Amino acid sequence: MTSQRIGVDIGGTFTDFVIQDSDNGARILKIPSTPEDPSEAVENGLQTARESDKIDPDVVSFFSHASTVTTNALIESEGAKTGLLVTDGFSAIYETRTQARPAGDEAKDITYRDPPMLVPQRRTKGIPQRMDETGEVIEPLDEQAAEEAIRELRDLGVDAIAVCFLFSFMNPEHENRVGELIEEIHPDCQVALSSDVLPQIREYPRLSTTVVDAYIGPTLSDYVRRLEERINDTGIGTDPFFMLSQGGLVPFESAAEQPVRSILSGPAAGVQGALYFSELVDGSSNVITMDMGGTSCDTAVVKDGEIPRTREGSVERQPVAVPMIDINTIGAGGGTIARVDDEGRLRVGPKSAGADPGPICYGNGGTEPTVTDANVILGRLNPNSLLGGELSLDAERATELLEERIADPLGMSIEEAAQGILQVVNENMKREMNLSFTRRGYDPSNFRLVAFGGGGPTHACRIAERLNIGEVLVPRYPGVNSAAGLLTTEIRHEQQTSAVSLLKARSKTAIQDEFEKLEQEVTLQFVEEGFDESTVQAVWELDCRYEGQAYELTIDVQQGDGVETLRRRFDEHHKAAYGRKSDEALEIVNYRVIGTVDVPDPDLGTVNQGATPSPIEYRDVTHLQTSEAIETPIYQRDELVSETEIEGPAIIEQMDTTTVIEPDQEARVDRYGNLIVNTGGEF
Amino acid sequence: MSDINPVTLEIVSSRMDEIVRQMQYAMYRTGYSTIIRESKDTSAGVTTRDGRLIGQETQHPFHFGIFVPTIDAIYEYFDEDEINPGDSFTMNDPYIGGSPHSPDFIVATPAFHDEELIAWCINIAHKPDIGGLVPGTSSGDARELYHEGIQTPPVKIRESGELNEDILNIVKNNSRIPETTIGDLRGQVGCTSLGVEEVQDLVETHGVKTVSACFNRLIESTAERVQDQVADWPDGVHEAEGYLDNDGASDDPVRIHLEVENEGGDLRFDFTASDQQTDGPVNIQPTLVRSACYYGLIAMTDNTIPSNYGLTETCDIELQKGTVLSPEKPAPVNHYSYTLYVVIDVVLRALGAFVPERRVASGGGKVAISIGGNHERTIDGERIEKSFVQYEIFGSAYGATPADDGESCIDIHGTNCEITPVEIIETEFPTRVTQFDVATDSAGAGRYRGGVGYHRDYEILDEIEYTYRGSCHEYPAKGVEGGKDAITATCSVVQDGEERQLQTMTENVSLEKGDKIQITRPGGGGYGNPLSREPERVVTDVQDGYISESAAEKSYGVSLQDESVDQEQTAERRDQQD
Repeated sequence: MTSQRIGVDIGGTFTDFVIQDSDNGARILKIPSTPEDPSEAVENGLQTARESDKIDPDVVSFFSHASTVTTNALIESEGAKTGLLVTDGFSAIYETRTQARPAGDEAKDITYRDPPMLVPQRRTKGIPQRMDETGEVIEPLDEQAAEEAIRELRDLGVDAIAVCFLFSFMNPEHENRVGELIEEIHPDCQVALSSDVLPQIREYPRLSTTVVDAYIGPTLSDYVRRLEERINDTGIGTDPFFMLSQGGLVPFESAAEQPVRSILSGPAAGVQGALYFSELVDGSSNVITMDMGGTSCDTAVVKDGEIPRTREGSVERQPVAVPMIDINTIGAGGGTIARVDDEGRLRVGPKSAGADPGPICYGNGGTEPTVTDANVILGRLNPNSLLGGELSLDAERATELLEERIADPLGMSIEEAAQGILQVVNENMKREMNLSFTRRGYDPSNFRLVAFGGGGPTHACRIAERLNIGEVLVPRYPGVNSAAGLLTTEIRHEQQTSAVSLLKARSKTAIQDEFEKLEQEVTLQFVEEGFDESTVQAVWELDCRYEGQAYELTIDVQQGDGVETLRRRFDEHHKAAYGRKSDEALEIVNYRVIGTVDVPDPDLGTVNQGATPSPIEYRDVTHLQTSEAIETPIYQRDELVSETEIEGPAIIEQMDTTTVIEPDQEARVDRYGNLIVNTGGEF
Repeated sequence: MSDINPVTLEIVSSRMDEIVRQMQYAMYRTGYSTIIRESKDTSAGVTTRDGRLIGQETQHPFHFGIFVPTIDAIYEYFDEDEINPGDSFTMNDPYIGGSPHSPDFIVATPAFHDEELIAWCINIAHKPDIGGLVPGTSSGDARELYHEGIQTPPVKIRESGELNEDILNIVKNNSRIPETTIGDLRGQVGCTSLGVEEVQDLVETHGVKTVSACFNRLIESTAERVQDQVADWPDGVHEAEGYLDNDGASDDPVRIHLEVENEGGDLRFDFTASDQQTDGPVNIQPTLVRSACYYGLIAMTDNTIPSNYGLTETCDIELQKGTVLSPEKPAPVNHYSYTLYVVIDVVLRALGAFVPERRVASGGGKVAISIGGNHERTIDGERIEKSFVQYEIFGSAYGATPADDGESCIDIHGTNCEITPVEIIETEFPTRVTQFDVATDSAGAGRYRGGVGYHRDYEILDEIEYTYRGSCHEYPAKGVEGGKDAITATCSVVQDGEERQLQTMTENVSLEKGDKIQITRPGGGGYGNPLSREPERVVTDVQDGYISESAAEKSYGVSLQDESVDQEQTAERRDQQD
C-alpha cells in the first residue's frame, strides 16, 4: 500500500517540505514562510501539495516538523511575561550570571552589558526553604510565603513562572510542592521547575535554562496547538512529531511540555539530514556539516554517527544547558560585507547585508560589497540570475562598487579583490571549523564535509581542502536538507539524575538500580505516547569526572558493568579526548538514560543511470588559486545521472544552490543523486 | 604594508586568533583546579622570538604585560643554543620574568622552523597553592617575597620532549594541593605545545619571511589604530589620584598618582609621584602598571583593537624605582591586583578628561577569599579526609557610562573570573552559603547609576583558616560628572555570635563550626546628577531592589506612591535638592 511521510522545516524565508512517497520517491516543495503565524505556511504548503496530488492525507503515515518559533521568541524578546521563584536570599544568582565577561573584545569593554535578564528582579521572589548538598531539608518550605509570592506574580500579570531552588536536583520535593501551589493559585500559568527541566548541579545554568523554558513555554504551546489544528484540517490523521534541539523527535504534546528543548529544532534537523546522506553514500558517519545561508554559517561535527550534543550551549547569549546539538554559528554568509578599514586592511564580516538590502548584485539598494557579489564577479555564481532564474542579478553594479570600495583602496585588480574577499571569508569559516575539531581532539582528515544551505556548496570544496578534508558531499536537495533530515530522525526521550558521588564507593547494584529506575521512566513515557514497549531501545550513560576536575565526560554503560570496568572505560575515554589519564578518584555526576524508537529509513528515490551529461554552457570563471579566468563548464544539477563524473574546475547549478568544484578536484554522482567531490585531501 | 599581500595578512591574523583560542580551550579542558576549571584564571598568547606579543585570548586583559619580561628572563638564564625544540620553560618569580605574583606560573614553549627559533607559545595559570604563609599562598601577612611561596626562576620543565620530573617534584613538594597544582602545570605544557605545532604549521604554509612580516604588521596595526584616535585628543595635562585602603601592614592609605600629558598625540604617563613601596604585599610590578595604561587607552579609543605589542609604542610611561608601582626585590607583591584596580581607575579617570564622551565612573574593585583546612566528608559511607582550599574571586560592578547604567554583579577590568557555583562549593567544601543577594543601595547614584553589587555570606561547618583580601573599604568607587560614589566594600566575621568588621584590606582568621562570614560587594560609581535620572527608572530600580525607597527620595529626589512616581512631590523635592 502506498504511504507517505512528510518532513516540514520552517525557515526565515521559506517553509520547506519533503514528501516521501513509497511509490514515487521524494518530492520537494518550498512555500514562503509566514512569520506572523508560522503554522499558516505549513497549512498553505499542505494544501498546495494536496491540490497538486503530491499528498494524499489518507496515506500520510508520518509527519515530522522543525520550527524556530521558540528561538524567534527569544531573538525578538517576545516570550511570556515571566516570574521567578528562588531560594530566599539568593536573588543574585541570575543577576550575576557567571560573573565574567565573554573572553575577547567584550572583556576590554568598560561599557559591557550582560544579556538582558528574561525575568527582572521585580518579578523574582525569594521563598524561605533550603536543602543541603545531599538533598536533606535544612529549612522547610514556607508554603505561606510561596503562596503569597505566587499571588503577587499573578497580580503582576505573569503568564509563566520558573522555579529554581538550590539542590532541587537532589530533592525536588519543595519545587514540586510550589508547582502544585502555582497550579492551585494561577492555573493558567506555564510552570517550569528546575528539577524537571534540568536536574543537574550548578545553579546558574540550571536557573537560566529553567527561565528560558518558562519564557518561551506559552509561545510553543500556542504554536503547537495551532499547528496541530491546521494539520488536522488538511485531513492528515497521523500524530505529528516535533524535532528537539538534541536531535530527536517527540510527539507534539511532549514538545510543549519541555519548551526549552525545542530551541534549535531546525538546525538539529539539518545535522540529522547531513549525517543521513553521508551514511547513505557509503556508510561513513564522520562528518562536519556546513549550512551557509545569507548571514551565517552553522557547522557541527559528527563522529562515528554520534550527533554532538552540548550542555553548555546558549541561544541569544542566554545559557541553555539542556542537551542540544552542538552547532557552531559563524558570522559568514552570502550577505557578509567586505570593507577596507581605516588602516587599509581588508575586513570581511561580521556585518551582513542580510536579505534586505542584500548583496549589491540583487539590486535592492545594497551598496556594500558582499561575499555573494565577489562570487558573482568571479563567475563562480551565475552572473545573470539565481534561484533558477527567479532572481536576476546586476553584476555590473557589483563590479563597479567592489572596484571603488575594495580593489582601488587595496591597490588590487577587481578579480584579486574578489578573490581576497572569498579567501578571507573562507579562512574565517575554516578557523571556526578547525576549532570545532581541535576542541574535541579530532583530526579533520578523518571527516567528510556535508555542505548545504544556499552558500555551503559554493564554498565547501575550497574550505575542505584547507582543512585537509578529502570529500565534500552535496546532497541532492541541499536547499531542503533540514526537512529531509526530519524523515531520518529517531524518536527520542531522555531522563537523567544528578548525584555526585565517588565511583568506587558505589556498588555495581546501586549503579544498576539508578539506571533501571531511569529506564522505567523513559519507557513509560514512550508507552504513554502509544509506542510498543518492545520497540524502545535504551542506552545508559554516565557523566563522570576525575575528582576536582570541572568538566564531565560521558561514558556508555552496559548492563552488568562493574565499577572497575567503568573506571577503565573512563580512563580510556579521557586519554582519547585529552591525551592522558589520571590516578585521581572518579566522581559520578549524572546518570542518564536515552530511549529511542527507530523510524523507517526514508527512501528518497534514486536517479537514473546513464552517460555524463554535457555542460549546459561554458563560462569564464576566476578561481581562487588562479590569476586568470578559466573557461569552466557549467552543469545543471538535475541533469546529473548516477555515475556522472566531472572534473574540476566545474560549476553545478541548481535551483537553490551552486556547487563550485575547484581546479584539480573531481566529482561523481551516486545512485541517490548525491554529489561527492574529491578534494584531493585525505579521507 | 605594500610588501605584504593584504589577503595573506588577514589569513595569518585569523590563524593567530585560531591558535591562541586552541591553546585556551586546551587549558580549560584539562585544568584541574577550581581556579582554572570554574574561574578560568589563565591566559594563552603567542609572541615573536623576542617576546613581542602577537595574539592573546583576552580572558584577562592584564595578562597582556607578562610576555616580554618572560622571554627576556629566559634569554637571560639560557643561552640560545640551550633553547631547543621540545623544551618548555616555567617560572613564577615576579621579579624575574612576567609573573604578576608567585601563584601565577608561566610556561613558555619555543616554536622552531628549520632549527630557527621563530615564536614562543606562552600560558599563565593561577595555582591553587604553592606554599607560603597560608593555604592559597597569598597572605596579607607577607612582608617579603620569600613569604609568598616557592619562587622559581626560569627552568626547563621539559627538555627535548621529556618532562623534567625533578622540577615537578620540587613544585609538588612545596604545595599544599600538590595534585591539582601539578595537574595544571602539566596542562600548561600541553597547551603551549599545541600552540607550537600550530605556529610551525603556519610558517610551513606561508614561509618564515611572510609570517614575520605579518606579525610585524599586526603589531604596527594596533599601534596605528590607537595613535590615530589619540591624535584627535586635545593637548593638555590631566591628573588623577587614587588610594588603596592600606597595605595590610599599617593603616595608612597608599596613594597612586598619575599625570597624563598629551602633546600632539604623544602621550606621557607619569606615575613617579606615587607612594614609596610598602611593607605589605600590595606592591605591583611595572609590567602590570603598563598593562593598565594600555587597557585604558583601548577603553578610551576602541575596545576591538587587538591587544598586542603595538600598544607599547603608543605612549611613554614613567615609573620611579622604589615606589609601590616599581618595587625592589624582595618587596612582597601577592596582593598586587588591588593596587592594579586603583591604577586602572586613575588611568581611566585621567584619560577620561581628554575624551569626555567615553568618560566612565569607577568600578567597584574585587576581593579574593580562600578558605582552607582539612575536611572529612562521608561519601556513600566512606570517610575521606582531604586537605582543601576553597578559593573564590568576587567582582563588583562597572561604573555608569555617559549613556547607561553600569553592569551589575560582575568581575571588572583586570580580572575576569567566573563565580563558583554555590552547589559546587557546598558539595566539595565545609561551608554553606547562606546569602547571595543583590545589594540594595550599593551603587553610586547618578543620571545613570553604577551597577549594583551583592552580598555573599557563609556559615562555616568545620575548622578552617579564612583569608580575605579586599579593597574599597575606605575609598569607594567614584562617581563622575555629578554622579555619586558607591558604597564601600565590607567583610565581617561572626565568631561565637559576635560580629567583627575586618578592618584592613587583608586578614587571616581561624574560624570554627558555626562561625559566619559576611561579604558585601559594592556597586560602581554614578554618572551625572542623580536628580536628572528619569523618575520612572528610579521607580523600576526600587521595584527591582537596586535602590531603596528612601534612597529614591534622598539621592534621586523621587517620591513614590503606589509603586509609581508621585509627580508633584518629586518635582518639589527635586527643586529643593537642586
